Amino acid sequence: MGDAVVDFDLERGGRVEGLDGRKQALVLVRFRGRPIQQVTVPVVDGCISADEIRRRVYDVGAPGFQDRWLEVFLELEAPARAPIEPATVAVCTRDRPDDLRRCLDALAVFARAGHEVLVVDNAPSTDESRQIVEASGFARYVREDRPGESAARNRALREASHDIVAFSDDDAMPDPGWLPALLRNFNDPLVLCVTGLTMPYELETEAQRWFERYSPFGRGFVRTVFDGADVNPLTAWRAGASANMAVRRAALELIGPFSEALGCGTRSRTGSDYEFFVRILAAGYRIVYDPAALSWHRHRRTWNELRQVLRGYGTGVYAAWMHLLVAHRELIVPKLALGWLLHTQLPNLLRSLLRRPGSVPLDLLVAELRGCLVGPWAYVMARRELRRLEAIS
Amino acid sequence: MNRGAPTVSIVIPTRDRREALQRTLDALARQTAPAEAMEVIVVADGCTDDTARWLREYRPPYRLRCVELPGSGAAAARNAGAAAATGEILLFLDDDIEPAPGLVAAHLRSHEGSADVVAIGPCPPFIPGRQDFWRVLVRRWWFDLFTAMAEPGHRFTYRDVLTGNLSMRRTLFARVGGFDAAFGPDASHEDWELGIRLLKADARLTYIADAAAWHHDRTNLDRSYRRARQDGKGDVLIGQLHPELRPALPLATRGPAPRPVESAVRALAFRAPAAGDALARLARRALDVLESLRLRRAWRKLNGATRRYWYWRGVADALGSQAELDRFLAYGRGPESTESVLDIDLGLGIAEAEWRLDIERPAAVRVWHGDVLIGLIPPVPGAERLRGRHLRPLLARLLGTPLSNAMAIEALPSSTRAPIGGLATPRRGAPLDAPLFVAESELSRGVHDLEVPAGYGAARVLIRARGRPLGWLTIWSPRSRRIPAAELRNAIAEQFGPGAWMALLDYTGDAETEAAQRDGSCPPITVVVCTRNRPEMLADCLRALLELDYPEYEVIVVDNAPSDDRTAHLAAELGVRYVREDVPGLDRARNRGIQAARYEIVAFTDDDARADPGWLREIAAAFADPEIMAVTGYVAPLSLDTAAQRLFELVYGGMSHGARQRTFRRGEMRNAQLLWASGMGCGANMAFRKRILDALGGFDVALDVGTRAGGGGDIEMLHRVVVSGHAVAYRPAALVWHRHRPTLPALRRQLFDNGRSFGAYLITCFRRGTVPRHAILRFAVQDWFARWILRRLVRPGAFPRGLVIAEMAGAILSPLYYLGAQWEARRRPAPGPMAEPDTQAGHTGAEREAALEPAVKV
Repeated sequence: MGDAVVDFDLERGGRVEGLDGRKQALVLVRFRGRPIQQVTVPVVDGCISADEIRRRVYDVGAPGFQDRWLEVFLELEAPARAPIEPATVAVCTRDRPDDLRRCLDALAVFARAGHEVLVVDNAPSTDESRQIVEASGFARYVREDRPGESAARNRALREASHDIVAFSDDDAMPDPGWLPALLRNFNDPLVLCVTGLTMPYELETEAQRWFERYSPFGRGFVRTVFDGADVNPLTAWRAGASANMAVRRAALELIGPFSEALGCGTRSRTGSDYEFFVRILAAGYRIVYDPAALSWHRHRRTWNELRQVLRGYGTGVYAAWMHLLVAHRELIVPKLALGWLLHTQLPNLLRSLLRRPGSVPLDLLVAELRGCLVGPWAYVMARRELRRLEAIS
Repeated sequence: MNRGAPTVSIVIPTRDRREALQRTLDALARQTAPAEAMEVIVVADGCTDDTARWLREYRPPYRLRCVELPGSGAAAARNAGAAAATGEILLFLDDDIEPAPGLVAAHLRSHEGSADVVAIGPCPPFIPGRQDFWRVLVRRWWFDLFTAMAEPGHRFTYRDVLTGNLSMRRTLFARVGGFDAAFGPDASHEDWELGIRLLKADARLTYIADAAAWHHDRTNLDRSYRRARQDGKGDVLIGQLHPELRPALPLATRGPAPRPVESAVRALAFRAPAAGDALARLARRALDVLESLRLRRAWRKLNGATRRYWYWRGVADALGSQAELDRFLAYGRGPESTESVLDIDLGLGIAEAEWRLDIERPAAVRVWHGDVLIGLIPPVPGAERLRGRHLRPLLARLLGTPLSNAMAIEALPSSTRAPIGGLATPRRGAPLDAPLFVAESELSRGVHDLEVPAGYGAARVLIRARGRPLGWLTIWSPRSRRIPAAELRNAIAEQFGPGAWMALLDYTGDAETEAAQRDGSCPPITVVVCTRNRPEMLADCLRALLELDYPEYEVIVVDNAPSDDRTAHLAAELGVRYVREDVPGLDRARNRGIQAARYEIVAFTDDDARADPGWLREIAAAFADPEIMAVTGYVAPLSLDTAAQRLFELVYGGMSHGARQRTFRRGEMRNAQLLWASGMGCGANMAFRKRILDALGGFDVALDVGTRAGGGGDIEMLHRVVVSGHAVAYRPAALVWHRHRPTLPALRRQLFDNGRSFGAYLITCFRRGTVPRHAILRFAVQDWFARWILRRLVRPGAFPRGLVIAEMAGAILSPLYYLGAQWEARRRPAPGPMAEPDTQAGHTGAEREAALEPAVKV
């Protein structure tokens, strides 16, 4: 059996039970509802004591703990200062009915609070998704026949009836506090996008554990504001992942839509969210990463899928860089690519070849590198495909 | 007396911007406020286009007047407009501001009370189209300004007063004297200067988000440099009119550029303006190039430097020379803190503190919590005096860490006040030449006064939170020899805040159920103490062991080649088990203890150590994880009376391994870390599962180099445990107090033994091949000899070279001693079964134990 994933509140006592058969657990530690740290704790006799969790948190340190405590003590959290304005929650899905069902169950709480839930079905092959949406009763169904997550997201932005659109992947399950945490960051008019913390829903298989180790979605436990006037826009990957984000609808006019030559469903595999973030920062706006906006993501289970995912990352990053270099004349792209290669990819490769303890499996690294190699050409093909589709319609 | 709806006079200075002016006037015609209540006064200040003529033909629904001036600057223009106004409220707008329909009504609403309010509305820039680097910066500056003002606890400063969208009562304007006409057309910041006077007159600044307007900003990079020059001149004027603000002006502060750039730019502006101007123009062209190459950081830096240059040019225009500037700034800190400082105590409640602030309106606040000083909210020149609603945001921003630290200490449960004795006005750095009183403070029992006995100049206190050591605090002892609890608390909060903080979490559980759970997982433990001819010291150790807070355990004293039977008598007297090992050697003694042990967990300690009451409990808690095969703990000094003890503990590093708990596993450690087994623990405080000791064959007697200090048998065993794939846990909460060597010769001897035993240990590792042999060789030469020994020989710091040489001598001679010990081990026969004399059983039971131990394994 794999590792357990536990959601633990720091003020709780006693022990966490029901973990028989597990060797260790990944514990998300919260304080007054806000995630402040994650620790890995060994499981003894099917349970973990609260003491042990606290000791590990103490050893690792939790920077957000003090901030959260201050917030609560000084009552600084703008509670319901003004009632939260309704927003749209959009889920883009494609042929994953089980995942969609789970996701909609998690989103029901937002629909009850008055927000709109929109499901964009992207070039589906069956009718199952539509049936699930209609069965739920609270979600609105939209069908977008052009393949690609960018096309689906752009459609969601156009169809939404509120000013802020929160996106969730269909294999993610947001926490009940997810949407308010995202929305409260939009008080600043310069913020165009807010991303949140994504934790793994389960760590049953080796592939899921390696995914979490190698390229986790989370970006830490401290709220960070990325300001386009301060940071280099091309480091926008630090701002988070699009499995869990909210975008202002006005971004369509200010920044433009998601690039349809990039992203899942196109030849470029991924990269549309990175390129979008780069454009936001390049135009001088802000992206906020708020770990209070928590969502649980079900990683791909099989090793093969993991390899495909990593290859997709390599392709997407290089495709996005190609796009930025060619279309936006960002001349710093080659320097970034070289930096990534020299500082991260090659050392990882070396460590893996020398079989050092804790190194990333070789086939994963090779898959990523192969993806990088085909990235630029994939982008060119994707552009051609796009033009062909546009010429048809 | 209700006079009906107040009338508002809108003053708009303008110069050659007819289209913008028309847009503004058209927008004013679409206001929701009634047109009869509005009057607009346009001040055409040196207009050369057809503005005046166009105004005469313009027919708005409100009253429109035009005042013409020959070009005296914005300040004079607005004064003239205000003088011509008849309305009760003055509303200043700029000619490039396009008001939203609700703007005037929002301003009117804000003046409905009788207080003197200055209402500021937002006018963020409307920048459509391409976003170049410059516009990005401008937009951010404006938006951030208004976002900050919109925060509920914002403390207004004079820099928030912007005449683009500002209203106040006409009487207030007249009372403070209007704009200062000294600000001519080439100086800006006349609005800031008005803001200073408004704040001094105690006007209440507010931000009204409803008074929305768009600023059609047409500045570009070149205009911004011209503006920077005007800013320089304006700041000088402000400094001349309000000398107390000089230290806060941008002239006096350095700015973000590095010092050489700043000084270079300033020198250019004052001494060689012609050359500087030429350079600045060159820089301007370079900026365009950088932008086309998308080099953001370089662009920002060059832009920053150029702006700063033009700012200094403006200052030079006003002041003339650098000497003048120095004289200008030398006014500096006038009479210090004639400002009112209020003391507030958060212990009485934050709401109470806010109420007091609203009444007293101090300039600065000292924040206390009970008798702990949290910090000072300093006076800010040019900012409004403090109000209640400022308190929480300021606490979070300025005093967040000290506040949470202090609250952490406060939240710990306290008991009756009683001075703590030792086991042992914070100043950094303990002196090595005066005795230090060693004390311990357990935070869960509260922080109390500390009595320092006579003869000690300072105290070194081990701060523990529910058993876990957080660290050491060094406090000087006052003449009264009693350190008040408040001072201790302050020092603890300052130094250990975060640590106490996290440990505070330990209290948030249900203490009773956790204690009950803990008792449930308390397996019986055997404690083995090996000793040789030291019954006095042993007595101390045993007494501490007999007082451990643990339900079931036994104590075995292994008497190693004694010369008399004093130890045997002592054991009988105290009622602990007694075993004798006649062949001298610490590891043989330990192995004998293992044989005699009845229980599954065997803990070792030295006869010169005193165990903490919670020692076994922490060890048992660590062993609850089935993966852990060995546990080591923290070794704290029992006393620091002599210089040798202080040298050993404070400079050499003593025997502790830090306050953070760690687990050592082979897979996670490099070869060098595996070999530094002395970093995993030491023989004074370690515990093993009996089965791992049996499986690994016990301690290596060939490392017994025959002295009391023993060889590296303890670290060798720890090394073996980790290398064979098991986990060793270091838990600092399992604590023993160790009596360090009191005299320098003894310390020298000990270091010699250290060197010798570590060398012998490495040789053993080499022979066993536990780690690749080349790694051992490299470690021995590079890490151990070169870095640890030689470096301290070359740069000893406070540590006497003589002691380093002793250790080095031990290291060099270790192979000889190793060979000697090997020969000795082969010469001696394997020890046979030894009879255990009739003594009482261990601490737990009452049965007399008289069984012979089974034959020893070879």
